[in-house]
Amino acid sequence: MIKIKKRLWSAVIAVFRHSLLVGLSFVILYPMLFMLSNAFKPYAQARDPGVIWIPKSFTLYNISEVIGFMDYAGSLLNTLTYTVLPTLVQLGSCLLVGYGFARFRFPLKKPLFALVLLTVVVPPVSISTGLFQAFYHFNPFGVLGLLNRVTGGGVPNSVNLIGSHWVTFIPAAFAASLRSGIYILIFRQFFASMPRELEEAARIDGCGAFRTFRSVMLPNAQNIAITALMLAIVWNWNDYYTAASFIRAKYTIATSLSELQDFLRQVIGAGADDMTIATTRIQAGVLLGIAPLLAMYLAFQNRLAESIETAGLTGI
Amino acid sequence: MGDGVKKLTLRGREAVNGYLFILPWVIGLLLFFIAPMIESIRFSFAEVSISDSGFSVSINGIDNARNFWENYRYFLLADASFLEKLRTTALDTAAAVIVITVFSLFVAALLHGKFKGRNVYRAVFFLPVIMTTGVMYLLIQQGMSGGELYTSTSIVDSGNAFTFKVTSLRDIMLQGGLNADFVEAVTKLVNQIFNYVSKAGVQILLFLSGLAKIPASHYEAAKIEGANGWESFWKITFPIISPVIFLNTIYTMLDSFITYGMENSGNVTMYAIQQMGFGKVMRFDYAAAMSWIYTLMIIVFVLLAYLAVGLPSSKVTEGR
Repeated sequence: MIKIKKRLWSAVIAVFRHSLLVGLSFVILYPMLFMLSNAFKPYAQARDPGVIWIPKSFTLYNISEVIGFMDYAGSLLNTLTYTVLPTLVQLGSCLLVGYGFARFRFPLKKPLFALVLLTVVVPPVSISTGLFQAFYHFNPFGVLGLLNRVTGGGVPNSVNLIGSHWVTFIPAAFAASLRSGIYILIFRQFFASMPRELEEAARIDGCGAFRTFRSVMLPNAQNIAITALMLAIVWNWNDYYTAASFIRAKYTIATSLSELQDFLRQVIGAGADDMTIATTRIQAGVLLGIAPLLAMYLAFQNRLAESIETAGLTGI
Repeated sequence: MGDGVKKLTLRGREAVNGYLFILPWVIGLLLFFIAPMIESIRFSFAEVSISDSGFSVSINGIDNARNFWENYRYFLLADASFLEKLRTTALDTAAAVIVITVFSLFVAALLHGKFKGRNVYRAVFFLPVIMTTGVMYLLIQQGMSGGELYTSTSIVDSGNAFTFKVTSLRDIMLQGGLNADFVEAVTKLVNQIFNYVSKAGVQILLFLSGLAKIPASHYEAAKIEGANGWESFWKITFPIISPVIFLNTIYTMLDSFITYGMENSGNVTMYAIQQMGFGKVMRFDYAAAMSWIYTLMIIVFVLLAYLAVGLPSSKVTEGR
């Protein structure tokens, strides 16, 4: 009797669990389905009330047209060189800094760490005007200005970094680009939760602090680093703000997508009523923009699941 | 000379190493955070006029006859619309923090443990992190909402964006004699359900990671002692994951405060600041003052969250 009751109970729980999860999954997948349905729909069917999800026929026309409109290859290349590569550099420096805060005692550590928190809390818009100045007249600590005076004008007073690759690589190298504070916090938590014995063994073997970090701590941080890297790539990939403010003329996926609908309106030359026609092409653009991220996600999905289970993602 | 190096104590060497590790960040902080921040604070106490040759900054009360606090005074006392926007953002964020934290804990509990299809569900629930940031999400939302796609700017207001309309639910509740304000709040919440679900990806991940850390033996022991599921949740799960609750509270809060919004939806404050500084008007001085008022509000919220959630959670954990 008890056994049957128990079985029944677990079956009820399973049904409950799955129906909830399926329902919520639908809510999450809805925009994805919308995007896919439209991207491959001939645009004559966009306003056809008889077509809701599955188009009557499929077409690659939207995709191929938008590839041209967006200069997809160029935008993709810019996105890779302006945002993805700097992300790798950014995470490298954040790993160093996170380890520094986790494992060493030094004067002023607490106020410095409070400053890390401050960088997380202050919205980027608060410093954007000043940041633009810093890039436009880049003169770190007055060094260029000094060199200018010493060499009698042989070196420019300041350089303009706006639109160049430096504008994303330099802040990345100094752990100061988009959401760096969050990665520093994550890595600090992770390293702080690691047992100290590992490092002590390395130290006894005569490893210096940096060697210890590189050969003992980094290999252990693989999963957490990949998880953070995935988040960072996604956030940087979609970051309209940096691209629009500092990269400017070089279009990334985020900025070219944001201009796609204006462009389409001009091409079609239509009023607001007719613009549903553009939906299929806009969704094709979104699909193109998101496809590399989806591929990355599917490729690293297992790593992600592993890091959930094993790494001290939360530091508890 | 060599003696000096040797005399560096163990403690001193540790400090030097520590500084070396954080050195890149210190440089970055000075160049790309502190310096722009000081500049922006200066703007907020000045009148900035932009011309073709650049812009000129005249500090209030020194270079001109204005009150030193003029920009702040304007937004805090003269112009009510900014305060109204702050209020909207604050309330939206408070709602988001509560709903998303509870929801993501609930989903993490559903996804936790071994059952068929778990990996597929996990992959689906984390998907919004990829789908729902930035321009792409706005475009999808606009497409789904149909009509109001096209206005003068390229990223445009999508109104209520993608929502499940629940007018029938509202009617039923109103006929049931419930308070109209309450019904309105509930309807708004349900209408927002997609927004909440899609913003919970990272939080679910963090809770799952926290739940994975709890040894199964804890629950077995509790079962032997005769505790039911409800009791073991409050006595075992809750105390252990309470630091994660704090982490998620802060994460959700900042995510909500820092994302860009639209004129009437999403984060209206960020939109207003952005428009003031980089829109048609280009008032750097006003935008700076607005953003520092906003930053202060964010800091107050974070401190409140620390007092309300962070402190108690650290006590619970220590008491274990």
